[in-house]
Amino acid sequence: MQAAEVWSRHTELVIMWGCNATGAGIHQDVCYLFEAMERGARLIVVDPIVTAIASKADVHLRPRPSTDAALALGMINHIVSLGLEDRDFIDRYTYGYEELQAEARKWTLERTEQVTGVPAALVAQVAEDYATHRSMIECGYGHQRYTNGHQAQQAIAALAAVCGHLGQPGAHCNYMEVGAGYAGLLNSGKVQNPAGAQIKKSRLINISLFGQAMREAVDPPIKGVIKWRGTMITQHQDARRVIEAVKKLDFLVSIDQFPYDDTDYSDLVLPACTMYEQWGVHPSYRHQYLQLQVPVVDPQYESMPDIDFWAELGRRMGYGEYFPKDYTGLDWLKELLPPDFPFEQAMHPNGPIRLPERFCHPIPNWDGKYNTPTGKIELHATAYDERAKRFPGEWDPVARYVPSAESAEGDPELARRYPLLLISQHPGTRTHDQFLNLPYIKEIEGPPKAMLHPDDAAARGIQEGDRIRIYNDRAESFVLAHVTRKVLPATMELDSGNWIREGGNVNQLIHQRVAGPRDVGHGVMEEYDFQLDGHTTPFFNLLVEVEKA
Amino acid sequence: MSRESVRPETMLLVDQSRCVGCHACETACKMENDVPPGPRWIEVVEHETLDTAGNVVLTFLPLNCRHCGDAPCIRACPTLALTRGELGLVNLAVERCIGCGECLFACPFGAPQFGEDRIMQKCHGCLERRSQGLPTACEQLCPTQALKSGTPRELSHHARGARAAAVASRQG
Ligand code: SF4
Ligand code: SF4
Repeated sequence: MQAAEVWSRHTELVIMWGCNATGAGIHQDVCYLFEAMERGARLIVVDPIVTAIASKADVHLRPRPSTDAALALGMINHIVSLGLEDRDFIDRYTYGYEELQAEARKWTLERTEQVTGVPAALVAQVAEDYATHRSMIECGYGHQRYTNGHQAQQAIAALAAVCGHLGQPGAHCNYMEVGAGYAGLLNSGKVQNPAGAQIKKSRLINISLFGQAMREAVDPPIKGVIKWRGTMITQHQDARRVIEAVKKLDFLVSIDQFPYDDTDYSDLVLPACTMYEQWGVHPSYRHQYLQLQVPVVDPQYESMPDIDFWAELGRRMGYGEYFPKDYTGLDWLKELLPPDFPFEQAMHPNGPIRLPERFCHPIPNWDGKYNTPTGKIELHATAYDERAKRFPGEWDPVARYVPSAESAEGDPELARRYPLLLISQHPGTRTHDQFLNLPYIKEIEGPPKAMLHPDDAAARGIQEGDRIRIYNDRAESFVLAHVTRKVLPATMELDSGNWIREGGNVNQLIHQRVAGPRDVGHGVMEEYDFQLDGHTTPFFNLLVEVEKA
Repeated sequence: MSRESVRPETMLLVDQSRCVGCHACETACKMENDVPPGPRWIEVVEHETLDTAGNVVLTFLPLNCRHCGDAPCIRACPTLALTRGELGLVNLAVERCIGCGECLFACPFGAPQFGEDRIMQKCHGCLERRSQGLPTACEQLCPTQALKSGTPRELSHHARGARAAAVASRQG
């Protein structure tokens, strides 16, 4: 991403695309955005749902869920038809422009409106404003939670390239880029696979097909799991199938902070420290600063810092030489971070540090260099051509719009029985399924509610506050109805992270399916490139019906 | 009826253009004052409206005690539990409160809260923190800087400065 203190000063227009910045990441760049807006920058938000940040926007585009690629292609076509593209930039820095243009040409404003539901005049206005101003695009995960999410992201990046809005102060297109800078800074190779340890490469299990893959893995079969810093059941698609798979394990260990779905199925629950009791590193998705997490209380009761658990396990398995006794979390951080890392400053309550410029330039791509096989922005992704030779999948190298799997357009048959598409936002008051046990959080959230459009509610005789049953062939969830225009007609919203044991979980309704171009079969893999093969899970490809419970 | 009209010396400015309804201020207040679930000395209220173009828009309003300059609650309280205190803040003497609720009925903001003991409690304006020159707890934790405490003069100065900057950037 571009340094917040740079873009917020220079940009004239920001598009927040599929990014609920105020609900899921308010600590990251919202203040900078407000500063830019108070300076006069315009804000465009692309999101089917009315979020807080959408309510602050000059223009809020509400495409039908999963039609973002069509919207971006429609904008590109309109820009090119008016001659507002940046020819010089396209010639110097992009590869495959003609192919992109051929694809974009299919997206007249009328067709864009037809597919996305966004009025043609609004598409045109935003496209023109974007092209003619020094503009930023800040991408979230929203448009990527579908089987066509990679195409949406590719089309959005292509929009930035066609307008030349990259590599200048206030002009950039960010999609979760911090990884690169952060990975450069951390010497994780040294810690994960220390010299002489000779750790063999193991199979990989695709996160989207977890339940299935746990059973399909045969050589050798998976008999035990230690589950740590993540949720295996509550947050996975088709959570019921995951439960089936978990029941077949010989041994499941959960390292967790409180009892919930996952611990219900565990043979052993080890109490985990909170972040206040152990050392850690805090980077960000959206700015270039990083802080060290300093323990402020001792580990409570029988809990222990995660690193102590793994080191002790390593010692007991006979690998003591790699896990020195009395090594603290801080000692491990010193192994991970470069010797010249300013520890003192990074630990200070007021002192986050900027990632060093060699890992993370304040203006990415300022030098016109792009880390691709052709060294250019690949509007035709040659890396996809290479992947296509090795793996099955749908490796279309140029951005295009394909209706997503479980949606009205992608599966009309299913949509007749289950006509409502259900999106699950991240809860704004918790971290996924964590902290749901806290009465203080419940006080703010109230009981779990699902958003339902007034038209859909009226058609089913549902009123605000009614207890409703949301169901499909996979499962049923019970919550209260919130009848609101925040969602589009034929669309519902139920926050992720509600526990299955409390009845309002959304994930049990979701099909196990991967997003992204690669077909990973049953999900047991030898190799995986997350940037090319997938990167996300189609949590929002979910059709349901609802009734009064 | 004794009308009381001391100008408060400290106020909390709520910038609704910045508030995004994250409820961090509520959490900050609970931590600072050790308030259990139930009474909410500050509560952020979300409101859904249609703008003139027919778009759905959310607004958020953090509501705490405004420490009114001419406070209806002070006039309403039959036991004189509510008085004007230091820094112009509206002070509650818990030991005098009989929990009759008159202040709640009089308050235009629904600020007075009642806990399990049914005795009134409310925002005290972080008197101690303010006397030490610190921001209020909610102000300190607000991630969008939507809250700002200060004297009416300071807050006016702040709001006018922001306004002038916005006008200048539009002209520039
Ligand atoms: S309780 Fe209500 S009436 Fe009394 S000072 Fe506070 S806001 Fe004003
Ligand atoms: S902390 Fe700030 S942004 Fe969040 S709800 Fe309170 S006033 Fe609004």
